[in-house]
Amino acid sequence: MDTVVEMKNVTKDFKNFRLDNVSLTLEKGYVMGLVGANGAGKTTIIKLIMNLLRKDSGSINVFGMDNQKFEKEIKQRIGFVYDENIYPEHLRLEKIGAVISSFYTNWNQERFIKYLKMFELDPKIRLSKLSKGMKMKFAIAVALSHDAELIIMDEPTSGLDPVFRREVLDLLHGIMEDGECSIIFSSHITSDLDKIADVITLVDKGRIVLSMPYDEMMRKYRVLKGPKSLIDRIDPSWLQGVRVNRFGFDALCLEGERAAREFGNTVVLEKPGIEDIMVYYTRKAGECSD
Amino acid sequence: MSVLTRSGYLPVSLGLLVVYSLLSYSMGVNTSYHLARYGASTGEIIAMTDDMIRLACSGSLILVPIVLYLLPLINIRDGKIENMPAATLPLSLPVSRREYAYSRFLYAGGSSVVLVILFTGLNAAGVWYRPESFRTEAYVTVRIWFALISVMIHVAGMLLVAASLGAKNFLNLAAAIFLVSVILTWLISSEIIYKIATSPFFWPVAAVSIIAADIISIVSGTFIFERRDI
Repeated sequence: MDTVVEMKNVTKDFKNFRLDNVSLTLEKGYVMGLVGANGAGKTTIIKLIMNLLRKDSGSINVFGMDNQKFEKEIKQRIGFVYDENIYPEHLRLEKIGAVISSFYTNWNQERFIKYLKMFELDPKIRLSKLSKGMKMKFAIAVALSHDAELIIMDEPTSGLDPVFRREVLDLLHGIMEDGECSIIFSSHITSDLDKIADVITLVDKGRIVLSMPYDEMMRKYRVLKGPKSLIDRIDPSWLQGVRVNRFGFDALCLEGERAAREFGNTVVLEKPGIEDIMVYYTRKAGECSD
Repeated sequence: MSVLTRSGYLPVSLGLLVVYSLLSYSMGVNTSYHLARYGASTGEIIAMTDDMIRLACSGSLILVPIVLYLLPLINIRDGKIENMPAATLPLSLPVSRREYAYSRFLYAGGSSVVLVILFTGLNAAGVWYRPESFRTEAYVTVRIWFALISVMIHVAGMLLVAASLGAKNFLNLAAAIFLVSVILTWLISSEIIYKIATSPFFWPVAAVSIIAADIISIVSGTFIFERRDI
């Protein structure tokens, strides 16, 4: 399988934050959902891949090439959408498209116009006249108009209404069909990742606490609830984010099938969503008053 | 192009171009009148040099690099001045950091050289306005004008670009560059400037100094930019 992005032991120090020893791999044809709380380090990871931030140590390869040495070649094959608008606000959409197109050898003007039409964006309008959601649509149209093999999206669905969010996700599904494109998609809206992600990478306080295929995660993980007396009988390595209250305890069980076999009806096992997994992984274990 | 079409930027730039073109020409005309009337003694030319330094450094010429090379890099939002995240877009496109840095220097260097040549040419045209004026002596004032605007427009412009590439929050650094430029020009006496301008080595020394300043700006700005976070 071709590796599209490979980060190995990447560290980046800031004044008040450290991205610590991050390693991740994205294979060709897969969608990686980057999930984590605010300030967890998702945008830092994306900026490091884009070489907007310089790593302190470790290595980052994109399409098998060092992302600093082969910056130009790599970016020719990347489409990007950031959480904030980076295009000149005072220009008309068609003008921005014309400027951007000159940088890409594979720019497809017809497709660009098609996406503008699809997203109901008037090419003659100035970017400053658009709402945040419309600007995001424009950024998506640009990112999809040059046959990118890797699309990097940092919170692309934030500020979008549910109908358009679904449209974007359907569009990405369509792009992924031929298996040639890969996507890194960071989002707070975990329901979006439930719909699209093949691999979930959970970032917390600058560390990757979890990175595994979505299907495997859904097969193995369960939210487990049971009486207090049971805690001592369960292998602690099975549990994540244990919270004890006066009625019992709840935790994310990393061995859901085995727990069901061993404890049967004495526990309640529920299928988790990505949000549940994120919460259990990032919250501190301990007593809960209620 | 993107900067030029920014609201109000083009009219301000064009206005500035017209004002300084007229200023350069009228200074030349004034020189020719002055020398024709009072004679072209060394003292007179030094006195005129003094006037030029005051003009160049009294906050007048400083507007040129501010408008051309600083204004495009800042954003005024809710009354607050902030850096424009101008590099995020180009550096997400297939452009290397070095290419981006060079393009910025090319714009600043090219446009400022054109302005220096234009303003010097207009100043010289003003001097030539009166055929009976002391052309050889007046030519010294043209050289002095050239030296002053080279520092205030070209060198300051290149240093500004280097500062904006080298530091994420470069406004303090830019203010320091302006301050140092002004202080340096004030500190160098008119007599010394006169001596330099009348030296037979003026053009080689001016060329070498400007090129050296450019190389320092380009090398240091690019070196730091290639290694810093955007």
